[in-house]
Amino acid sequence: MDDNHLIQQARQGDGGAVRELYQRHAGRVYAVVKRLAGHDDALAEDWAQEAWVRAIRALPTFRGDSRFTTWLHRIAVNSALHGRRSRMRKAGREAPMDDSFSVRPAAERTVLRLNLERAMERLPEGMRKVLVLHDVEGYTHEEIGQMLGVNPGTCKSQLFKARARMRRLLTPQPEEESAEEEMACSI
Amino acid sequence: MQHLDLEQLARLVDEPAEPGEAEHLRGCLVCRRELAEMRAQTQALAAMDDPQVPPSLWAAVEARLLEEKLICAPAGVRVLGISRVHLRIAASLALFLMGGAAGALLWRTPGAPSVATLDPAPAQAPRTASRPASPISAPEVTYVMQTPAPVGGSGARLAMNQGPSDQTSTAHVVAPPRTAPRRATAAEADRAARDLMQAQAAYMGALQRLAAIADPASGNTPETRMAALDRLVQLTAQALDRVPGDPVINGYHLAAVAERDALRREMERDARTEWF
Repeated sequence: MDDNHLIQQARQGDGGAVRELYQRHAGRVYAVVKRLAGHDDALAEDWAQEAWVRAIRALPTFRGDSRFTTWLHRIAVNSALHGRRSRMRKAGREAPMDDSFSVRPAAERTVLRLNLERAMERLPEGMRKVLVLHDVEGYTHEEIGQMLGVNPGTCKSQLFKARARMRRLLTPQPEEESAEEEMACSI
Repeated sequence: MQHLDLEQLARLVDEPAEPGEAEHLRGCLVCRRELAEMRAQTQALAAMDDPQVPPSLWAAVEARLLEEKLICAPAGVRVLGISRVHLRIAASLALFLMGGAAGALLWRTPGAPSVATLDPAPAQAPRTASRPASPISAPEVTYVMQTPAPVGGSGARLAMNQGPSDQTSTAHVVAPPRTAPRRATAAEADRAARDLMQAQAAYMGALQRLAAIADPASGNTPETRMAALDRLVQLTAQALDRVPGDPVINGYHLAAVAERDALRREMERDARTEWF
């Protein structure tokens, strides 16, 4: 059964159809909100939950101009970007990085992928958003600028800072991050 | 020599180099290597696998969709008005059903189309000499699995030796495929049954402990109760993955989700009012 048929059924409140849609697309929805949330799994779950509820609520407005996955993905991104962090969860956002994180240059390529997720979690929120949306999810600077309410130039600048920061996080660096970069990290 | 900085290199991943940068790159192995690493990093980001979706997420989504009446409740499930007593009764029932479901899963192995028939085994079939006393009594029985008949026989045959008696019983069970005859004793079956009962008892005990921890009357902190409810929701969600249509487990699961949501709202309200 294709997505369009399931969408028709889901619009009529068919729980089975909604569940089927969920099973097909839950991975992509969770992936984007998880990466935007950093290491806060509870926050990611909240955002994913919110994304699904918003999507099912908005199903009657889905006209099929774009693919369902694209439409749903955008809702997930918006849910994450506009999601509010609760006071209790906020306290746990910037957890210290453990010693096992550092990698030796010789083994870097092998372990790069394993450490990418953890490195992204260490990025300041503004940088992480742009990096995830551009390099992981494939949005353009114009689209990201629209989502975040900034101009594409700012978005580019944040992306380059984020990539540079990632590079430093993935290789041992004796020097500390500059205070200037810390100041510029949030959009 | 002044190397290109990391932000410049990050830009060069997907933008052309300016003349000065291009000239530097031509003569600098360090920067070329760094740029290659930066590109590899960006490509690896684009190729990352999706993280695993938490099993409990669907339950939370479904509970909210039901709450907002965006989907209809499955037949036989009451979303509201399920008391904790009902929760516990449902938990017990769920255990029996899950036991049954587990049994059904064991016998419905994919790729096992066979239907076996219980027939008396030949007189020379091996028998167990003795077996230890068991709380689950069973006759002295030897089961012999035979390979499927090559033509016309659609399934494996399960032969049962009832000892010297000629008593014959026939029943249809779906048996997993076997490539060679396999013999098991009643003692082994007893042991397996005993293990299963112990596991079920342990599971039930754990569920009841979690429910007791989550009970508002327990005096436990909201955080502790929330942790217990999270675990209950997760466990019942896992059970639902095996038997998604089961109304009892659905009911139990939804009740646990509703309980958890209520506690979460209560905690958020407390956090707002006790800001000092």
